[in-house]
Amino acid sequence: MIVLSHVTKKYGDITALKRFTVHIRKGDFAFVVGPSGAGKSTLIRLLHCQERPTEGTIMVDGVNLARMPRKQIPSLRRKVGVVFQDFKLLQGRTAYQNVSFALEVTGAPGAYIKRRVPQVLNMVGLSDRADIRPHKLSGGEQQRVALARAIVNSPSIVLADEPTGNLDRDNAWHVMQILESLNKRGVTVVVATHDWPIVDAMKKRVIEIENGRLIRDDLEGGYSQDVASSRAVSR
Amino acid sequence: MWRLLGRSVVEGFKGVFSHGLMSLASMGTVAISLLVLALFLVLAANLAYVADVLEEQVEVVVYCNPEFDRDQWGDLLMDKLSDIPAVASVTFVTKEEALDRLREQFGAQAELLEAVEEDNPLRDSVEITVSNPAEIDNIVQQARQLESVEDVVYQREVVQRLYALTEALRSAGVVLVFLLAVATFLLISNTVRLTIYARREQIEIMKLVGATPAFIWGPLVIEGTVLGLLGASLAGGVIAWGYADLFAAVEASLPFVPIVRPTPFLHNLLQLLLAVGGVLGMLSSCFSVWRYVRL
Repeated sequence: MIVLSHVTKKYGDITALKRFTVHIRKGDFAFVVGPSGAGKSTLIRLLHCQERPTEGTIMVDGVNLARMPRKQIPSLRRKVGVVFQDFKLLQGRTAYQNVSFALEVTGAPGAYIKRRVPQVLNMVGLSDRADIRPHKLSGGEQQRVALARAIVNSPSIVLADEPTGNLDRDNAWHVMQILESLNKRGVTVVVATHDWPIVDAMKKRVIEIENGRLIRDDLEGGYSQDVASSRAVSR
Repeated sequence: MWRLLGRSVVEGFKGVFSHGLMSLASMGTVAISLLVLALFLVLAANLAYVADVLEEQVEVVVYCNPEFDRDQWGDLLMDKLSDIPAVASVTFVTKEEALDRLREQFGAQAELLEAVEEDNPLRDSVEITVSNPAEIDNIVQQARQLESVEDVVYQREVVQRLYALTEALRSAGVVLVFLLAVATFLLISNTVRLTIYARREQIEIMKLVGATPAFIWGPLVIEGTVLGLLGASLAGGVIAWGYADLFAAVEASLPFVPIVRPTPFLHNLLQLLLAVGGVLGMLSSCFSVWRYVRL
């Protein structure tokens, strides 16, 4: 599903990722952890073609993103839903319109949009907030709108870059529960995060990056090596 | 394709209204810049018109010698004079007509002319108007060489000064309009660029959810074009209303001042303003959106 081989990404003199290789299977739920500036966001940005790698190949759904023509970027982004720490919602549009916009972009017929958007808003628990604009929604609600927008096109992959960074505990958990239920329906989920309590509690695959290199890849890991090893010891 | 265009138009108009203040600001800027441009166009057009009117008044008078038989040679003389390059028109004035004119000019003192009426001392003459004052020396020279021409009279110094003045008026008009057109272009494209800059986040989000460049581009370019057209209409409205009033006032109280008639001049000016506003709005939004839309 997602295969990075020997991926290097440089920004001028700074190397964000160094010969990074990882394989994420269809249906995986993976956390990407590591200190600030380790390269987590770069990884997420590479996966939906917001950046191109300096070297190496990135295969997503059988397509090499490193060589994909620009023209195909929009269609990739419709297959890969993305959620950000700062939500990135259109302020002038209601929750409903923010979600429906992602469908309009694909040229979906109006009747389908009218049917699909309420479904997705219901899935994230925002049916009663559909007509409200982002600035009147709480952070948690805004992130759930962003999540609804990311999944309205039924993507096979959902990427999240610090999705809980601006949220309180309850809302953070709510968002993670939605991601987990998506994962149970077969969606591949990749979450870059600093939120160690969540990572420790969810016991998912953990990919740790430091200075642009992969330093750990545990199938049921914790936020840091210590948690993982202590768990390994207690077993 | 048509669906995309239709959506672009709908969303473009929506964009104008949903960003009320920003739209108003850019529309105002477009309107003011175009208004200044239009004022200078009006000024330049009138300067050129004044120059034309003055030049039309340049006249050369050819006096025939006293023995000239106008019934026999009149037509031939007229033909020969008309054939000289840059001669716009020729009018034959008989010596009787000339005397009538004098009488008119003398008005109340016309009895002074009684003495000469029995034996009219005036000559038959031809009045020539000139299409290009620069050619006037040449015309005079050629006319002098014709048979039965006694003298050719024109106001050499007046003509030369006038010629210099009208040329200066015309060039000044062209230079002013050109400079102002450049300033207008920069001002409008900058304003539109700011409008787009304020929307770069929106563009970024559209890209993230998989919008194609055309999908993002279309509405914003329509929006820029609409803003340009609205601004141009505003400027056009103000100038049309103002100029019509000015013309009426000048015609009523200063009928001898040459001023360009509002029709078809205003009509052309409005078309020009709309074209400039629309095209500038469209081009500048095209360019500025393109920077942000590139994937």
